[in-house]
This record gives sequence, structure tokens and C-alpha cells, in this order.
Amino acid sequence: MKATYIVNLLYLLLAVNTTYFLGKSLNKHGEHFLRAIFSNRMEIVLPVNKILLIGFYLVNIGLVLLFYSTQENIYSLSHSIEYLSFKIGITYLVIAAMHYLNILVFILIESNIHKQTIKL
Amino acid sequence: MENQIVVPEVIDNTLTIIMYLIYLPIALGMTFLVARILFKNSKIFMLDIFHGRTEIAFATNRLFEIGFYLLNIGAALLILSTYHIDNYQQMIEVLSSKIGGFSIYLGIILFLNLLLFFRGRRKSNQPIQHPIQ
Repeated sequence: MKATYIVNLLYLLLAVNTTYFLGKSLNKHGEHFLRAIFSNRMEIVLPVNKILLIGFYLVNIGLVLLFYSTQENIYSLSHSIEYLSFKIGITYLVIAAMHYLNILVFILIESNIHKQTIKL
Repeated sequence: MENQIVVPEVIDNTLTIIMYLIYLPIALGMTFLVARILFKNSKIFMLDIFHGRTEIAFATNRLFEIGFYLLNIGAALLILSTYHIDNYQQMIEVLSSKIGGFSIYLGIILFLNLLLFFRGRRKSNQPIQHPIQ
């Protein structure tokens, strides 16, 4: 029973940490896109960036907690490795899908704005 | 009929754990190596796609790199688990089939990424045909 707790705690720690660092880097690199979209008006870019970051955290930590629930008992070390890696793997794949969606949206909006500015 | 309580096997399979400990560093190391090589050389594509806007090109490159890591580490962890391993021969067989499968997967993903870069480059070099509403 104790092992189950430890494995679940490890899962939570790993997944939440990944989400945190992913959000931070997305925030940092997304700012260039936002600057292009809002034509360098920093008083809009910074708040929008912060709101997007909070939304990202909410959605992803919600997903992590959703996958957390378990009925399984861990009874050996090899089982705990299998269980942990399966859960982390699924979480990473879902987060990766969301990440690619985010990039796609960024690129589409930015390229539209760029074309408009070229035409003007 | 006596009541039978199903007790799961408590015996830890040492060979399975050794196999995991060999597989994980190899798979993660392969992912890191491929990602570093791919995204070091993709900067030129990104600059082409974004018409020399350096900041956005490098930011996109970094974002794609992070996505690549997430996707491949997730897949590597997902295919980790295996059945009971009895001897070293079985361990080597399982290990080689897993690493082989993962490296084929990694190659396919690598080529998909390259395809994405080429497509993006072709698409962004097309002249604007339709007026934007």
C-alpha cells in the first residue's frame, strides 16, 4: 500500500514539474509571436501572455490530475516502474498533442497578420 | 469449494528491472541525440519559412524541439512494459526488439518532421494569390 502512495506521489511530482517548465518555456517563446500579432504594443502583450499562461496551467494540471485516479495496487518494483512509465507516457503524449496545437495556432495567426501587413 | 484468494506475485523479477534500466537510458539518449541534431539543422529552414524574421524563427524552432522531446519520451515510456523475463537470452531478445522498434519509430518521426519543414518552406514561398478578407 505504501508503494502505491510513493508511485502516485512520484507521478504527480514529475507530471506537474513538466507542466510547469513547459508552460514557462511556452510563455517565453510565445512572447515573440504575441509581439508580432499585437505589433509590439507591450502593454497588451504582457497581460495577454500572462492570461494564456494561466489558462495553459489550468488545462494541463487538470489533465494530470484527471489521469491520477487509480484502483491499482503496486506490489513490486518492476510493476511500479511499468505503472509509472505508462502513466507518465500517456500524460506526455497528451501534453505534446496540446503543445503542437498551440504552435499551429500561433503560426497560423502570425502568418495571417504578416500577410496583411505585407499587403498594406 | 475452498475460497481462493488471488495473491499477486510478490517476487521481484530482477532481470525485468535490469532490462528497464538498460532500455530507458538508451531510448532517452537516442531521443536527445536525434532532437539535438535535427533542431540544430532546422534553424535554416525556419529562417526560410519566416522570411528571415529571426526571433520568431528561433522561437518556433525551440517550441518544435520541446514538442519533439515530449512526443518521443512519451512514446518511449509507453512501450516500456514487458512480460516476465526468465533468462538472459530472453532479456536480450526483448531489449533488442524494443530498441529496434523505438528507433524505427524515431526515424519515421524524424522524416515526418523534415517533411513538415519542406512543406512549410514551399507553402511560405508561394506568392499570395487570394485577397485576405
